Amino acid sequence: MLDSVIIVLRETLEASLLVSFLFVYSNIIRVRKLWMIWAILIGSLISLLLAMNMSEISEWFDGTGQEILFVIVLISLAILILISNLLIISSTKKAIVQRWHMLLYSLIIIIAMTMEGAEVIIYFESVFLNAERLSSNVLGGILGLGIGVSVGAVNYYFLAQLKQLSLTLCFVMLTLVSAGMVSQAISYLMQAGLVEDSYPVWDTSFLISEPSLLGQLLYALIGYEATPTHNQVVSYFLFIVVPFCYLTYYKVKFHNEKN
Amino acid sequence: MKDKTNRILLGALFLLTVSVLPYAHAERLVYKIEIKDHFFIPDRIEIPADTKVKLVIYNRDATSEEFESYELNREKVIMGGRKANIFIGPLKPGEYPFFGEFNQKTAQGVVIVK
Repeated sequence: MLDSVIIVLRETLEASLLVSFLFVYSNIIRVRKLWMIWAILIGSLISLLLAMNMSEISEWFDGTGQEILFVIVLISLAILILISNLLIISSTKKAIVQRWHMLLYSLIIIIAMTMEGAEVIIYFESVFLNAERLSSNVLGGILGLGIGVSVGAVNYYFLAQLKQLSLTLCFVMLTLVSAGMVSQAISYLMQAGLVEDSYPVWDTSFLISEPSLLGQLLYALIGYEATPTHNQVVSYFLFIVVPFCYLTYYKVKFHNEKN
Repeated sequence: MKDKTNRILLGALFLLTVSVLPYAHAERLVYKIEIKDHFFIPDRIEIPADTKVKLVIYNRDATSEEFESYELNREKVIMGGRKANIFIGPLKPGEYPFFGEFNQKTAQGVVIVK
């Protein structure tokens, strides 16, 4: 049962934390959240379609269809989150078109729900075909789903209390989330043999091992990998440097304008 | 200001593209693994050090399985009755465990790099 809790929790946690950060952003710029609830539902429906067709998709591009799909999904998510981060910096001082934010956040949620949802559905499908431990696995899965959603909700209400600080925290976390996605995308490209793998730049598994609870949580949150390759490290830091450079640039500019 | 932002974004995209550009394909060593009754057969494979190799994993079960390894940084869902290609290496000598995430009690294996 514990296995099924963890498998479902891992996928749910990634989606629910992402949604909770975007909920905080939408509070800050006063966008209605109803849109995003719809996005969650639409994403779940598309994930069902994706799960049903995963067998076919996996065979595409000489058996690398799954990786190529995930790379496209992860890179688009990372870029959309990056754009959200750049926009939110400007939005605190400027009037912005709320409709665009709504569209952007909904799109992020739909894509994220599609990917994470499909993995959960594929797992449940294999559980249902295996009659042996059916009830305990289903119970475990529901438990994992419940814990994942709860952590997201707690995270949202916690951040909502912090007011001004919540913007900074969300900005930092979403930046790390997007960087983690890019690093994961590169890992998929190496798995598909499309990018050359290399020896890890460092090994921090003695500090935080990936299978550990903390390792799993950090993986879901910031894309933690104990043994990253050089192209993973480079792209990870690129996705951190860009938004922070923009933040600094904007702060300096705004400060100069004020004086 | 917009120009500057665009330039930064373009630069970022360029760097990313360069870092992930595909390299030329060479002949690869291929290793076959089967998944049967939620076991990996064989559950030990030996591969040479410092070499990129291709694992072809046939899932003979009706249920899907997820090939996963923290040490190899690999993760792939293999649907029931299908096969999957996974490239690994170059690796340093050592043991790299892998497992089937959906059936962890039985589906365990190890790549031995010599």
